[in-house]
This record gives sequence, C-alpha cells and structure tokens, in this order.
Amino acid sequence: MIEYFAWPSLLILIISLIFCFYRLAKGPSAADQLTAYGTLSSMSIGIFMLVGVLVDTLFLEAVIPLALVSFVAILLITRFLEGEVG
Amino acid sequence: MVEAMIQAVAGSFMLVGSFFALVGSLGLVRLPDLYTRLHAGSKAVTLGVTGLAVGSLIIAPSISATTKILLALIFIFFTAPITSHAIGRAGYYSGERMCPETVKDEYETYAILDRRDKLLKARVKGRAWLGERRQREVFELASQHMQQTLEAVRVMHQAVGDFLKGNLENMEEDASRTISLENETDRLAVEALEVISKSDLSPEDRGDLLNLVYMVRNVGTAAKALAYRLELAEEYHFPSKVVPGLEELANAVMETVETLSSAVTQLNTDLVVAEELSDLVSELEDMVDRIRRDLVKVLLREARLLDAASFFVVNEVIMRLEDLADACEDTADHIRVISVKYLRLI
Repeated sequence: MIEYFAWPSLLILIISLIFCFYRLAKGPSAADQLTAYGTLSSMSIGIFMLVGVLVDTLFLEAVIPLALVSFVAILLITRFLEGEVG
Repeated sequence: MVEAMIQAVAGSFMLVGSFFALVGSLGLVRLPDLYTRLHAGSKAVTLGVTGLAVGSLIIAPSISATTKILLALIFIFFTAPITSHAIGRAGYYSGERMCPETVKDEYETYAILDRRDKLLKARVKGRAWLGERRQREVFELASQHMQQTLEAVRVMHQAVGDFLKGNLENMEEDASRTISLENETDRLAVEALEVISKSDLSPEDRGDLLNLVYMVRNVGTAAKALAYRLELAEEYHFPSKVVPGLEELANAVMETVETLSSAVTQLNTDLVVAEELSDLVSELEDMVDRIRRDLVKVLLREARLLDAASFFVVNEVIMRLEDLADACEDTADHIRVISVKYLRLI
C-alpha cells in the first residue's frame, strides 16, 4: 500500500531538488545560493527519511549529520558575508 | 486491513509534505528577490519536511529509526528560522536589493543605527584632528556647541511629538524652551567663534573649525525655525493618516542629528570613525528625503479635507524638518572633508 504513495512523493521531491539546483547554479548573489543550499539540505533530509523507512534504516544515520552540517555551514558563511570573519 | 489504512495515512502525509516541498522550491525559482525567496525556501520547505517526517514516523520499523527521525525533525524546527534569519541579515548588510514592488523597508533605520553603534563601540584609537592641549580646548568649545544644539533638537523633537498627539500646552512649552535653548546655544557659538578666531591654530585649521561651528549653527537655526512654526499653530486639525509618517520623519531627523553629534565628537578622537559616521548621516538624510516624499503624497491626497491654516502648518513642519536634515548633511560633508584632508597628512 505504502508504495503507491511513497514513490510518487519521492518523484515530486526529486523534481523540487532540480528546482533548487537551478537556483543554486544561477542565484545572482551568495545569499541566494545559501538559501538554495538550505532548502536543498532540508529537502534531502526529507528524502533520506523516506528512503530510510522504505528501503533500509541505515539511511537514517545520515539525517542528523546532514542537518548539523548545513546549519553550521550556513551560519559561518553568513557571518563571512557580513564581514565579521576574515 | 488496519495496516493498509495506517500505510495510507502515512502515505498521505508524505504526499502532502512533498507537495509543500515542491511549492517551496517553485517559489525559490519564481520569486523576484532574495527576501521573498527566503520566505518560500524556509517556511514551505520546513512544512514539507515535517510532513515527510510525520509520514515516516508512522511507519517507522524500529524504535531507533523513530528516535532518529524525531531528533532530526526537532533539530530542523529549531534551526530553520535561525538560518533563514542569518541569511536575510547577511543579504541585507551585503546590499541585496528588494524588488521594485516592495512597499516598505522597516529595517532600514535599525540597520543604520546598528552600524553606528558598532562604529562607536569599535574603540580603534586612530588619529585625532587637533593634538595639542590648547588646541583641544578650542575644539572642546565647538564640540560643546554641538552638544547644546543636540539638546535643543531633542526638546524640539518632543515638541513635534506633542504636536502629533494634539497636546497643545506641552507643545507650546517645549517650543518656547527650544527657542530659549537655541538662543543660549547661539551665544555659545558667538563665544566659540571669538575664541577660535583669537586662537593660535594654523590658518587652515582655524578656517575648518570656524566653518564647522557655522554649519552646526545652521542646524540649530533650522530647529529654531521649526519651533517658531509650532508656536504659531493654535487650533487646527490634521488628517490622522499623516501622523505615522510625520512621526517617522521626526524620529529619522532626530537620529540624523544624534549621529552628526557623535561624528563631531569623533573628529578629535578618531578621524576614520568620524568619516564613516558622516557617511551614515548622509544615508540617514537620503532616508529622510524618501520619507518626506511619501509623506507629501499622503498629505496631498488628504488636502481636500483640510483648511488652509492646518495645511500650512503641517507643510511647514515637514519642510523645516527637511531643512534640519539638509543642514546636518552639509555639516557631515564638511566633517568628511576635514577627516579626509587630515588623514592624508599622516
């Protein structure tokens, strides 16, 4: 039963990922790219959750590190953009 | 059967979540500027991930899987607003423009004041303008003149506030207090001019300092002119739609004068900071101009409802406030000239 729902939603998520990649490639400013990156990472967290419960729970190991890394990276880069770090 | 229903519920959560994620990423592509994109990219996608996580939680096969998903969900819930706030702030400070349809930028004043506070806290002891002790005393007089002008402008700001609240008695009192303060300040200016002329500064320094006092005096004169206009006002009424704009204008002018006064003080502490502060004064003056333009639009729209006397008073108040800001900008330009000139001499 779950397959009829999960695979379509995975497909939709992958389409959204492509949109995010578009903004990541194009984004006129660094802040735009950061926005795209944040969206991208939270969406991939969603994908990992989905695949984790559908295929193999080992995928779930990646979820928390992914969230942590994107959080720290975005905060660091924004501070750099504001000119407080080197 | 029950299992199929549970799976259907979980699957619907997943579908709804991925739909929100799709909407968010579409917004990321289609929206016109950073701030709106940030809005789409953070809120919609957080909601989408929540849907996916709830769906996965329902069919999670083991307790460890549940824990991981729950932890990640809580983490995203806490960090998503923080990151989007940080990105918006960084974008704003690195000069990201808003799209032309934007109605209002409420952060503008705060951003400028924030930069001013940072500048004043920085404590880089750079080069001062006048080094020797006797010269310092002369400068102190000019600086004191600026402080008194600031005081007069503060009282004037209060008077404008009373005017807007319709608090006529207080307004009259404050207006006449402004005028008397300003007259005292004028006497101080005359004294300062005399002392400066007699001092043994180099002719160039003397000229610069004299000009500075003259220009600060213009600021005070503009404040006095406004106070006179306020004293004229008796019974009048003005449209309530003008009030917020007028209040904003008065506050912006007040901040301009405050920034100017710290720029004057910094002249004899750190020329670099003085120069940057005078840049901030110019930015504030630009903002005052913009606020005034919007305000005049509102005033003209409401003009039918007004009698001539009220229109005259409100218009005069707006014009004098702008004069005040212009005088501040002239002084700031002069401060910039001084700091650039003496920084080059190192």
